[in-house]
Amino acid sequence: MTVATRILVVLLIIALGGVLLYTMFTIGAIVALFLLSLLFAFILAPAVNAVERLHIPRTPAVLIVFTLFFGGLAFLVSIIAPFILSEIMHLQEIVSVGQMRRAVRDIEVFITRRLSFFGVRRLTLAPKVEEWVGVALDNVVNIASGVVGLVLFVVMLLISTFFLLKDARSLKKSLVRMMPNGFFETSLTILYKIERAIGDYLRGILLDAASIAVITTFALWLIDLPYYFLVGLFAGFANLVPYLGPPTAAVVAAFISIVDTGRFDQVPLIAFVFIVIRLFDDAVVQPLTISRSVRQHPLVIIFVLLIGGQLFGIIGMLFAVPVVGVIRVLGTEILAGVSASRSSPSP
Amino acid sequence: MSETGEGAEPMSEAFLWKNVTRKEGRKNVMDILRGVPLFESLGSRYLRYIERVLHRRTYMEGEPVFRAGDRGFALYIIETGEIAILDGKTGKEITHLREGDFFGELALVSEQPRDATAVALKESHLYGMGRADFLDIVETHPRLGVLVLVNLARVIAERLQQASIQLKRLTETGETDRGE
Repeated sequence: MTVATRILVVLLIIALGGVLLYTMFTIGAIVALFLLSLLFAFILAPAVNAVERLHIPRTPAVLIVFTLFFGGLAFLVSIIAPFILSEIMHLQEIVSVGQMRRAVRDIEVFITRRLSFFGVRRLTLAPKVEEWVGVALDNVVNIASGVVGLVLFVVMLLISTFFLLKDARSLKKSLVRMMPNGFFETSLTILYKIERAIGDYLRGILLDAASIAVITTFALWLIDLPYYFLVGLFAGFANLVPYLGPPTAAVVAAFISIVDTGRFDQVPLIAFVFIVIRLFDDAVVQPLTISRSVRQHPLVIIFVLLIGGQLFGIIGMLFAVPVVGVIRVLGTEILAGVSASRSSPSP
Repeated sequence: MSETGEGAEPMSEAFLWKNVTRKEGRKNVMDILRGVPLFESLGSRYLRYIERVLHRRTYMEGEPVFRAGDRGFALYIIETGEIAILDGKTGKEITHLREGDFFGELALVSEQPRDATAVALKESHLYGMGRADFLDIVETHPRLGVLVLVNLARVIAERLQQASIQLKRLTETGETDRGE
């Protein structure tokens, strides 16, 4: 391959990547649905394999796991959803009666006093925060009350997850069939490693998030934080986004405490609780749940999280890290293949 | 049906039902698998698990299946056609494999580069099984995995024994030549 051809190939790959990224951005909602189905398929695949090991065919195995998992999930949601909704409604009331505006002004005063040496005299945080919180709470209530849209989304999600689980093997075979003979063995290995990297990471991070949600809820209940259940749940979800999520959850917890009590007394305690949970997560929970092989450099993670979030929101942030893992697997395998073919003796 | 190595069949009732009720070529795959020493003593249920992870590939005359020095990731079973195994250094033919034979089995347990080249001598249909799929079987069906691993160990042991006998013969011949 000449230098000119190589440059042409690289330019073509970059152009194709750009077109693909643009297309994905324009059909973001569908991509998000697909990614969510993929997420559930990765979570449930080991359970389906375990049922299949009992000599039950694949389709009934998927149905059994589906019934147990989504039935359990629906049961859990039916129990906790009214509780969460009432907490959200209560928060909305606080926002509307101006309690939050007062708290934000207090925070403003607190910050300007401490940052006066920087020349900070006046912050206009109140209207901005009020708008953000109002929009966020409205969105949560709208999602929950938009029954038709929600049902349609859930049905689509269930159908696509079902087929992804049932036909995973044949989909993989079809993909391999398209590969030229020269790439057959490499494609098998790449697919296996990608499946492993994504599956291990997603299962690990979800288990980690669930553990953190439970631990945080319990810890916040111990320090008597108002809306401890809502904040604990939020902390669990926020934990899905490495590095950026946990501090966000701490800020939300402190903010809710200030708004509800009108004082700053609980803030140091909240900060302490979140620092302890963070350390416990790093030292105990994550080593047990997330495989070391899928971990990346923090700087890489932060940048890909921002890109993923910009493109597909929270789902994009969740998949950003495994996508980097996939790119790493592809790069490593292709480079290893190229160097092996260069060093191979000619018969 | 030439794809599966069978001759043309008349349009009988059996022929029609065969195409409606059964996956094309399934019987042949199972028959071929039964003849492979690696899958010896496996029941039909286990053979079906193996069949599920096989990838059917077609190689044209003169097309290499793999080259010496390539990283090995798959075992191949010949459905139809002929494959020559060539020495990685000299290019001399080591062996000639036909329908039902298998090669590249070391790739199931080792990532070492291939030490020989495999080339199709005529249009050949092969079933490839990747190490990844094999490891998946070991993980999801441990009993089946152990049976295949034991058979694989036996095949490798037999080949080692043969290599050792040949080496001994060569050494003896060399000593005799020097003595003369």
